[in-house]
Amino acid sequence: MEKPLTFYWFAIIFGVALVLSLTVIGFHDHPYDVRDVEGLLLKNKVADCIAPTGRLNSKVLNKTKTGFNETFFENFLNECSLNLKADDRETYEWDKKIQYYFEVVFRDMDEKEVYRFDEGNKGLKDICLTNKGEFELLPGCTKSYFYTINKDKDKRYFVEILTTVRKTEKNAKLK
Amino acid sequence: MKRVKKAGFLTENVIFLVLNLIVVTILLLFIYSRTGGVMLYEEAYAKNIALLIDSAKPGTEFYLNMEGAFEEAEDNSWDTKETVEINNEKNMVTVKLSEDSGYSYSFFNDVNVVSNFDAKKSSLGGQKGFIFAITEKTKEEGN
Repeated sequence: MEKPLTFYWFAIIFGVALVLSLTVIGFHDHPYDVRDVEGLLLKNKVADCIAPTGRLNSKVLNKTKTGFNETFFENFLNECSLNLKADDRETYEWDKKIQYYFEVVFRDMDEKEVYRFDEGNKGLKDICLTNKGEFELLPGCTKSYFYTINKDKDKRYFVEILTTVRKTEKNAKLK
Repeated sequence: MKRVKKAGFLTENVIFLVLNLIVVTILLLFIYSRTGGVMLYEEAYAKNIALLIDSAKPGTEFYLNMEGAFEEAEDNSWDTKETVEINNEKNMVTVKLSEDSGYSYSFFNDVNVVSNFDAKKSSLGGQKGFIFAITEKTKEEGN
């Protein structure tokens, strides 16, 4: 009677060990996915440049304040100390395909778009949009809004920032 | 006859217990090997440092406790002072805990990062680690 019980005992132990092993393998086989945090930090960096301490950066508007300063946005990456070129040790050709994208939209108080600009790999924007063109919260996609006012308090805008971080090879397990 | 039976009973149980211990030991060693290891530490620290740099502004200085990584480096006969390398031209962090391994992760914050191994332990409350100082990147003439 004891021998059949011993067999079942070991069968159960091996079964439990197998399940535990597969769980550990399943958990640790994936790289750490930090795209969400990276997207958030990129959004914060862009927002801090557009509106440091919450007030609209004086460089955003042209001198007459009739429109936006194109020169500032053309040199946005330089002005805000951003470098979107990632060139990692492994050869993923990330130096040729930029892994970041962000888009900034300024809207007036009637929520009408008044200015839009973007930087990075424009193809990445589609990753964060559904077939209907609506924003979808996926790893590496962030969208945020904030309200800002200039120093003279005569210009007010809603600012919408969309950021996308790809870097899939280092943050997700590829099949 | 009874002695033989008792001896047989004892032997069976000892073998049973030993086999149980072997299975549990193998399982624990396997779990330990998968949850630790050089590659995991390299990836975790490289991403951690890159994200810290991304969130920092010029003038910031931060200390990172890397005791766990240093233990792995020492086990692999790798100099702990060379575990972290910052490439300011490519904006890349590389964490290396052995001669044949290494993990890199890039950061988008275009700043100058200076890293130093801190063996004095005073800044980290008795733990060894690295100190990182963030400064503005000097723009090249003509940019």
